[in-house]
Amino acid sequence: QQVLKLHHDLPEDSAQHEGALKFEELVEARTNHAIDVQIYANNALGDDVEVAQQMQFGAVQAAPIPTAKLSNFAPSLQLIDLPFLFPDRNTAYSVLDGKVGQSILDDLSDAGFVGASFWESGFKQLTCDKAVTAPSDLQGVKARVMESPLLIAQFEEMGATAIPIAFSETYSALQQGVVDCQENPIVSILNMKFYEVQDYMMLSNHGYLGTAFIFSKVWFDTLDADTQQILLEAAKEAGDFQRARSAELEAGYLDRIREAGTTDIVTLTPEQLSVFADAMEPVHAAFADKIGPDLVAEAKAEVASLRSGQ
Amino acid sequence: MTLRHIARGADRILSALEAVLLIALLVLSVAVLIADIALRVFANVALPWAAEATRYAIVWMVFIGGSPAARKGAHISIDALTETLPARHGLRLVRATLLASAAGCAVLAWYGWQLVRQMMMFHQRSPSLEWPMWMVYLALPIGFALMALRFAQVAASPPSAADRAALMS
Amino acid sequence: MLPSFTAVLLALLILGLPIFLTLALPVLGFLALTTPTPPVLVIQRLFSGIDKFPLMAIPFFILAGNLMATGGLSRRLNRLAIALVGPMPGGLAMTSVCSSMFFSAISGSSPATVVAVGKLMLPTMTEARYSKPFSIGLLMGAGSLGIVIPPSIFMIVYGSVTGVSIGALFMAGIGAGLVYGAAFLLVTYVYARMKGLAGTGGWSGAEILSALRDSAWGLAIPFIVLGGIYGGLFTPTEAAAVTVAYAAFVTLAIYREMDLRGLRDVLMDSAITTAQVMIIVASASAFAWYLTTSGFGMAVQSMLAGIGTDRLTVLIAINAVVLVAGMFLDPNSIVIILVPFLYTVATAAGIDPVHLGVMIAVNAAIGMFTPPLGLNLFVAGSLGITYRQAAVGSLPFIFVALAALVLIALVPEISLWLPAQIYPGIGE
Ligand code: NA
Ligand code: NA
Repeated sequence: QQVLKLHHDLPEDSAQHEGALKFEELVEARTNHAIDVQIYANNALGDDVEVAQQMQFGAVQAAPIPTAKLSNFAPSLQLIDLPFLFPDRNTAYSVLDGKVGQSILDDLSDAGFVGASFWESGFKQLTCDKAVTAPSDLQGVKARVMESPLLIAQFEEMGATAIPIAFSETYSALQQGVVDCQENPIVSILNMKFYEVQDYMMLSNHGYLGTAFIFSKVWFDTLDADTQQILLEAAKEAGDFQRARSAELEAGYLDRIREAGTTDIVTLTPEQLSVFADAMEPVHAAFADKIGPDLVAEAKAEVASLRSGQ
Repeated sequence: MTLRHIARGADRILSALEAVLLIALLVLSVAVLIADIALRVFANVALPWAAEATRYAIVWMVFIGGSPAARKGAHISIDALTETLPARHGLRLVRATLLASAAGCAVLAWYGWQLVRQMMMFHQRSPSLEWPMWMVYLALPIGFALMALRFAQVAASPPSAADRAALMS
Repeated sequence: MLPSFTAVLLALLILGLPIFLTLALPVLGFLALTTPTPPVLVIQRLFSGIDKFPLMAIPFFILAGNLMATGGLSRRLNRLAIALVGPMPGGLAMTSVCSSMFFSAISGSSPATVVAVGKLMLPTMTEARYSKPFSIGLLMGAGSLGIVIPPSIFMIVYGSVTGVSIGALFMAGIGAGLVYGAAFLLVTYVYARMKGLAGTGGWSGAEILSALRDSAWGLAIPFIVLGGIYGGLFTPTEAAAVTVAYAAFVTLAIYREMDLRGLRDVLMDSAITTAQVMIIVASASAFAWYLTTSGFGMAVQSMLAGIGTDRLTVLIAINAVVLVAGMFLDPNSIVIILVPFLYTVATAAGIDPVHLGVMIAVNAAIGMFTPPLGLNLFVAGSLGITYRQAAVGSLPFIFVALAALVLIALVPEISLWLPAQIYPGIGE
């Protein structure tokens, strides 16, 4: 019996964990338990980047890892971080499940991974200690970002100061006022309790936080073709399930944040959102070379055609 | 005679190099972080790479610092058994653990080098400075190789009168 | 596999191999011989175990402590401490308890606290006839408290794993921290009374005033640090670097008791002390990975399966498990490996999740200085304390801390009163 250690970075009551359980169920049933899936939630084996390294030499076998974290291994993954690239979930799914997504997954192979499918954490929202309805509201404001030049550029385009702070220190930094704002999907805003120390949450949907479900390539290459096929399909099917649950749970998360009563939830109008989109647009051009200009163009064309088709 | 001179000269040069590197890394990490805080507080400007540079400087400092620590016998260990044994056996045990430490560090240096080679193949870059990550990880094979050398050096050198006295007491 | 692994580890420990090798080599060996996991994993954990920004408090507080000790700041502060509390039985030791609680609350790192406060207070305490084991036991015990008092990354991780409000956890930690600290102060007082350590003559107004004036620069440090953190100027970790800059400024520009040679020695000394301490933190992270993947959590789960819902039984069982785990694992690993399961057991028995978090934090803090593997016992080695002295010194304070823990476990109001004033639904 082979052990497949599966890492993810969220608690056990998340869509991600449900997806992992679904993956376990599918794989163990279809391989007649020749593979034993063991799930390590909550970064028990290390954070996403550390585990990705462990996967390169085969110490961990599978994980859904945020694409923003994988872009240090393969630059084309930054495509997904481009602000306002996807107008909604379905567009994101279509593009990522199509040719563009496949070419991104293929790029992971040189980094020692087998890219199987895309899962998600959801769209990122902006939280602040003041209401933000226009980019100019961010002028001179300090915003916490992860260590990512693209996300730093995104805030700097709006005149904010982007400050990378460790995820574990962000709550305190927001509480003491070292930074005024941060961006994350609703699931993380809830889990990390950022709403306790932020007065406003803007439903900005300004960026999509996708996760790439990857396998360790050195490990994957030792398996027979049938098992490989089972794993790839299970990653895809569990991913479809995970996305559906992610969208369902998000509505409940919003209610819980609202009920906590510490945060005003600000819905932005389409007009307001398009002002934000215009303000962040220069980031697309600035990072196109790094991501691959053709890929960016192809993704944008596909988004445009999906839009007009609707 | 000459061999001993060469060894002593090499030891002195290596120790001096280590000292310069360690002090530079520590001063650099404080300076970068203070500059980052000051710019943010007084000019609302961020140095996005400051935290990353600090972390990597300290990681290098830790693994290089393991070398002078080994030479000075400063690595923390439980000396209860060596204290209890009669001096002659205690000294033998100390020698044996020093040699085992040298061997252990050599193994870690070798695996460290394996990891660096793998990372060279995969082109991972650091998030902010976008440095190749294998260069940062290089601290481990270098640090452990130096530690192996130092543990062997201490094992080979005859124990000083002070060491003997410490064991007798 | 776990029993034979533990046996190898303890054997290496007793033979006197450096602690970092004692932790790293068995992991490497067992990975190579008994699992398909490539041993290079150990190297990856050694690196990423210390590649964490919050851990940078360790080098900076060590450097700040050394600068203060060598540059004259400590001498002046100690003079003030002696003038103020010297005549009181146990006054100096109580000062140590308070400084340790302050440092560890800020840094959240008990190794950094033990080293920094130890460099400051150990020589003075030794001079005042406190025994080394007592002094180091006190410093380790009080310095472990940082994860209980806010801000605390432990509480943040606990909150994100369990869904409990982090703000409420921070507040609950204050009450528990006060009880724990009070227990230490009380024992110190009793010990000093028994040993006749009612220090130096009597109080002298003139000496107090003069010492106050003399130590003004040093006295400003807590205000700068706390003011900077709560004023939103810098994070607790950055506060450590600010302390270094401030201590360097006072030492080099105001007091001028240290020349460049002295500065070089302080830097070199701090670099080596940091290496001594952090290389152990690094290998402890490889050790935690091994425990996580070799069924440690499962073992605990099957042990506690069917424990039932009797409140007292569950309380005792949970505290016993975390206490034992705390001897081997760092606090954050305990949260990640054990808490998801303990949370289910505890809530079924009607234990408030905030109260549970505080108990586990106090418990994990005790584990930090409990033999054989409590990290602070090793860290004390960098202060010239032998392991045996540290272990012997820790014992009485483990009992003190356990007494505080029992109180905190049996009286939830200690933790829950403060958060219940603000957060609805707590402790009901
Ligand atoms: Na399983
Ligand atoms: Na703290």
